[in-house]
Amino acid sequence: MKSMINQREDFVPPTLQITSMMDMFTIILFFLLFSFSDKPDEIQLEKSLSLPSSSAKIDYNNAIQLMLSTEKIILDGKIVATIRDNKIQGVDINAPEKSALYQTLVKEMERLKTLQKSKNIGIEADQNIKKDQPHILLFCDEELPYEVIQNTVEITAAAGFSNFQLMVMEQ
Amino acid sequence: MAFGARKRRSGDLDIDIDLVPIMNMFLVLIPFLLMSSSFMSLKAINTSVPVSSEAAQQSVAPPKKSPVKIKAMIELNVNGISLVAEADELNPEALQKMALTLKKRGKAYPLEQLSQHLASIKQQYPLSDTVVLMPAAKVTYKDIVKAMDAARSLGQLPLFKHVVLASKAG
Repeated sequence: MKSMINQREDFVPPTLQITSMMDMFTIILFFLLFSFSDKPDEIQLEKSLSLPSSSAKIDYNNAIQLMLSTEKIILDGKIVATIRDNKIQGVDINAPEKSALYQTLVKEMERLKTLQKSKNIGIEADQNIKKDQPHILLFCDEELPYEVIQNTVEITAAAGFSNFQLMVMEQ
Repeated sequence: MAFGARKRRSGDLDIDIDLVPIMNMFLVLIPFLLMSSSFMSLKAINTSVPVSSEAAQQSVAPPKKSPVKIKAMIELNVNGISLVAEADELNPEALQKMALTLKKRGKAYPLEQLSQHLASIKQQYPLSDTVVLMPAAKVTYKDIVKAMDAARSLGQLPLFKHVVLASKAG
């Protein structure tokens, strides 16, 4: 009985050792601070899309995203055409105006022009300031043959987009 | 003396820094940084509408009476690479010496050799800055990007900064 009382008197309440946890948190914090980007990627890559890596160092500008996988073409998250045997379905290269891809792109171009006009009203409406032409970010699967890319770009160009950025993964 | 020192030591208090506020700060900062960090690093290659090789020749042709600028026309075929040099100021024989044909090694294109050849052209004519790349229809995007990289630089050595994508006429 006496020994039990002695044991209770010697009892030291356990303290949580948080030093090691602090070390871990400090390392994580520094890692995250160094990898912090003020321009977070708002791009949701299609799961079936695999981009090639490149030594290119140019940063992309936010623009319309056109993703070309081996099976489909996706414009800003919506499927606008399918690809079978390296051919874009529903597109006649000699008359691309009839295709859904072309019509969607034309609508997008019109929307961008309206948006640009509304931004300029009252500010630069009377000034002859050359605005940057809308451009497209092209995400192509690394196994996609050039003919599909070329055909898509030609249709896109016919819809009024003339500037492109080919997207790659940083090496 | 010894007794006094022992007494002082026994009177010292263990100083514990209160780490709880720092832990709280970490717990707020770390999820925020995790949410905003991007682990997928995307880069871009600027390009314009692919043109036919004839149109490309006209659009990127150097002005006459300028210092010699070589324009390298690279055909990326399914079987290999062929390079043809063009310059208004040089005679056909000199341009012929710069021509190159490389066969594919297995599935890979000999891009190291291509880069070295372009580096020798660049060394001879430092003002040269344009490569017109003409991939065949079946060449994959991965091979095109690799060929563009090979034309742009050899390791840290910059080569031709303008790589224009074109398609073969017809």
